[in-house]
Amino acid sequence: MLTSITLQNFKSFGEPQEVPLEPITVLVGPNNSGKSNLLSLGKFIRDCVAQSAPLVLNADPLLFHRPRSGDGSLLVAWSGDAGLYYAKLEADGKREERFRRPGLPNWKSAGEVFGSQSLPFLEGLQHLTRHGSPGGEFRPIIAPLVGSHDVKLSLDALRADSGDANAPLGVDGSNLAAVVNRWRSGDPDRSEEFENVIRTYVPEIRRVLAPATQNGSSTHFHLEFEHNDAQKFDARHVSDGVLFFAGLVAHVIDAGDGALILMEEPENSIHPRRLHEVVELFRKLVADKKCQFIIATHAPALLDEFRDQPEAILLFRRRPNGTVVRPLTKVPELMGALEKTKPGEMLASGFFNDGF
Amino acid sequence: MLIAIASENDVYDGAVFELLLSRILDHPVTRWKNDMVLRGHTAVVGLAEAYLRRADAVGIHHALFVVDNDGGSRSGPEHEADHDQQTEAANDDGCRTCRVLQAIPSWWKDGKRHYCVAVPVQTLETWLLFLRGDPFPGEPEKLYHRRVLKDRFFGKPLPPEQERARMAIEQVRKADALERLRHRRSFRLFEEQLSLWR
Repeated sequence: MLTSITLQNFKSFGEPQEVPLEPITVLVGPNNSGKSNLLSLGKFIRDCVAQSAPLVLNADPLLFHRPRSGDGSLLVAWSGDAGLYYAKLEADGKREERFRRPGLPNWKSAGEVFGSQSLPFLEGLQHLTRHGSPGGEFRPIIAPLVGSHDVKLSLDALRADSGDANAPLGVDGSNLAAVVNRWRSGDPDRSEEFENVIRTYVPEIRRVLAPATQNGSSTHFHLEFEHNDAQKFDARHVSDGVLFFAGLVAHVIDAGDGALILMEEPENSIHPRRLHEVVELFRKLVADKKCQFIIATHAPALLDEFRDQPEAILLFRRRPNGTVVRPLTKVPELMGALEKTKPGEMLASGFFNDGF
Repeated sequence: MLIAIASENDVYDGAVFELLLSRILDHPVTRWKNDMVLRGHTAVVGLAEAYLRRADAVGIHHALFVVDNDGGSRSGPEHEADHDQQTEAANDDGCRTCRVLQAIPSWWKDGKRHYCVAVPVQTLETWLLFLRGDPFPGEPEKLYHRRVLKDRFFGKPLPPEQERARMAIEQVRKADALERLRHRRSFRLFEEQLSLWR
């Protein structure tokens, strides 16, 4: 599990911000305050591993915060149960990349690990993911972000048929039908887990099907929700909330054990009462599968689920010199108010937008 | 006996109070299953009548309202028999038992139906920690913060609600649970109201 992420000059983050993390961390703040930029770190790291950091940096001119803050360097660092990772790219191109295992006092540079003094920025990450590379003892340090899973569902994507039997589940929920079809035909454990969760929380549904339709030479898969009375509703006719819930459930099951799941506004289209069940599902996955969630939300009802874990709530605000992140527990007047009111009320009343 | 238990979380509080009622009344109790949750005393005060109308419509004549005190005894008083309900109810920091009692409509209090208000001081977890035998620095009721109480009883991270319910019921099932809980004044206030239910 990650315990913190530190960013400097990364997208909206200017001055260095250390973001403490819990098994479930909830990000709240106005639009454009930087929540999504924190969540985008997973994709940035995955892209750097899949391509290379210089390519990724060149492809996104907005990746560096403008104007640069502090010493002008881009800093990406995190810590967790498996150790610490630190990568810095200075304005003059000088770079550092280091690893530290828990309980050991000394950092080890990527150059020492891989026997090269001139590795490109973040190249150590890429090396570590290669089969048989040295430094295998550091692999668990980078695993959460390299294997992270983004979720930002869209109704259009969830409703669309899937034309590729092997397509992965998209961040927006696209290809859900193909994934369900694959589970039903070849992964009975996941298929059963998916249907059990759906049945538990949406008791009127007894099965989720994804039959294939042949159209000329192409095959399409489409979702069907079978109710207890045997009526079937396809993805175009089932309610938005049920479809979103199915998309969320599929994502967290697809992510697998120990996954870091970075989620944008899971509350969309979901009834406030069902949000309680969504959070309980996340708690179950934390307890049973050691998953970790970082969730950006604007929903008071979702936030109220963390009334008794204020350490899980992080407040985001955009200042001229970049995103500022404060744990709710570090804002004394709000902690005092929390004895009498709920965090959702504070969010709805604008108390999280200012004063820190 | 079918009982309407209005609480913040039916899977957890509802299940615990269902068992407590069964044990105190020495009679099997089933809680009314519905989709309503009353999140905290302000929701109870605002929604008590609507809740009871729905309970009445399905023929339920026993209602229990469960509200934690949430550290309230630091700013507001614990319930006393000589409290003036109207005065307490008019004060946001007033006695929560009085505020909820005041919110129960007179037609439910006409003698044909029964009601009870349970306000564990400071939270249900105070009772559970006491049952589990956890050491308190002084009086259990002097540990105010609900999140501290929940952290102490459940540990971190907070387990899913089914597991929370299992942990709580494990304590309430203990043979001497009622006898031990009677050491807590807020429990005695809850239990005394049930004498009219028997």
